Amino acid sequence: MTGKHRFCAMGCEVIVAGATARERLEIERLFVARERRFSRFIAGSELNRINGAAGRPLLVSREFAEMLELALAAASQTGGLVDPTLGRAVEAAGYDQDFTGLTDDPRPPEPAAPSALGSVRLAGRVVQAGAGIRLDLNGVVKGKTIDDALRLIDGDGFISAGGDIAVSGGAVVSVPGGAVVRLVTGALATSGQDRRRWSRGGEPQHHLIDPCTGRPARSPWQTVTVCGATCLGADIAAKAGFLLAERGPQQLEEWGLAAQFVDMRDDVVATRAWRLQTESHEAPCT
Amino acid sequence: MSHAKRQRKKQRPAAERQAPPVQERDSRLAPVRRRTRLAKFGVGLAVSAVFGGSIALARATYAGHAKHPSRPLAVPKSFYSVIRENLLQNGILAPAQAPPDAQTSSS
Repeated sequence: MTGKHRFCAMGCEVIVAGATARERLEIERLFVARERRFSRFIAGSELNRINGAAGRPLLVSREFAEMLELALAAASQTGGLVDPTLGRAVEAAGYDQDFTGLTDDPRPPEPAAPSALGSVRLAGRVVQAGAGIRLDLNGVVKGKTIDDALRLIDGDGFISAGGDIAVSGGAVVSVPGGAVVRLVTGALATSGQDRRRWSRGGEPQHHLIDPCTGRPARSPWQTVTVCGATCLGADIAAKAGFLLAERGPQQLEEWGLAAQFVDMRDDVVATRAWRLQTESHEAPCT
Repeated sequence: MSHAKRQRKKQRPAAERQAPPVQERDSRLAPVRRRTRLAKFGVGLAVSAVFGGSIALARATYAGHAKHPSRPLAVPKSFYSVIRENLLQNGILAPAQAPPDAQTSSS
């Protein structure tokens, strides 16, 4: 595996390993292009054009339509937990600018804005979102971009962005809670409230919104790490596991996913698949 | 020339005198001939069409060897959306036997 290449995009550090110079350039271009199209913080982004449409149907790019379709599929797959219509709720909690510029604010958060999933319609490349709805596709876009970027690497390598990682040919990865695992194939994604947090009116806020309340979710988990076939899938499952609170481990167990939950006291809960795959089963020496 | 032949030769002008003039007869027969030609053409065309259609149908539906390059079985397009929605599939982990190359953390 050749050296690592680092750059900043989508509000996080991206690390590329195993790519040639040409592949690194293509990967960087992909991240930059996706950020320009899907960022909430870039005034001319396609996402902001749609968020400003005030309920009018709009013709969107093929890429946007595909990403929204994936986001709606993620919502359907998780029973509405991972919801692309919570942009206003994230803003209400105070996450209304790039995270690096976010500071604690003594003003209380704005009124909650719960899910409006039922008022988003996608037909081919025509999108209609109800008036006042603000889409936020950030999680889906980042996961999908990592998966797409990995396909640009011809040989073995990995892409890591903001803590989510997808590999080709395997890599050894340290995970929250102190464990180190070998990711043979697929991706690892972690969601949690230990990093992207701030306060409004003295109350702690984070970016993982409960679609029922429209407020940052109250979850006993500090982080949830999931191994998935794709980074997109792993990220969706990690968010769902976090939002399900105490029921998270059971649900991810039912989905058959390898997942690890770290609570506020740094105690670790792992699903059966995680334990089976990561614990050594060496035969005792005789 | 035999007697019978001489007799028929004598009788022929009489018969010709009784028959309608050639021009009149031709004018009556012309439309009939035209309709006949048209009918023959139509029947020929219909037979050819039925024959061609039957051959094409037989070739297309005959359960014998393939008459064209065989295509691999493909998943119907409608299934793709179902498969695409199945996002929650597992990757593969194993115990680590080397120092970490990277780390995963909250994003």
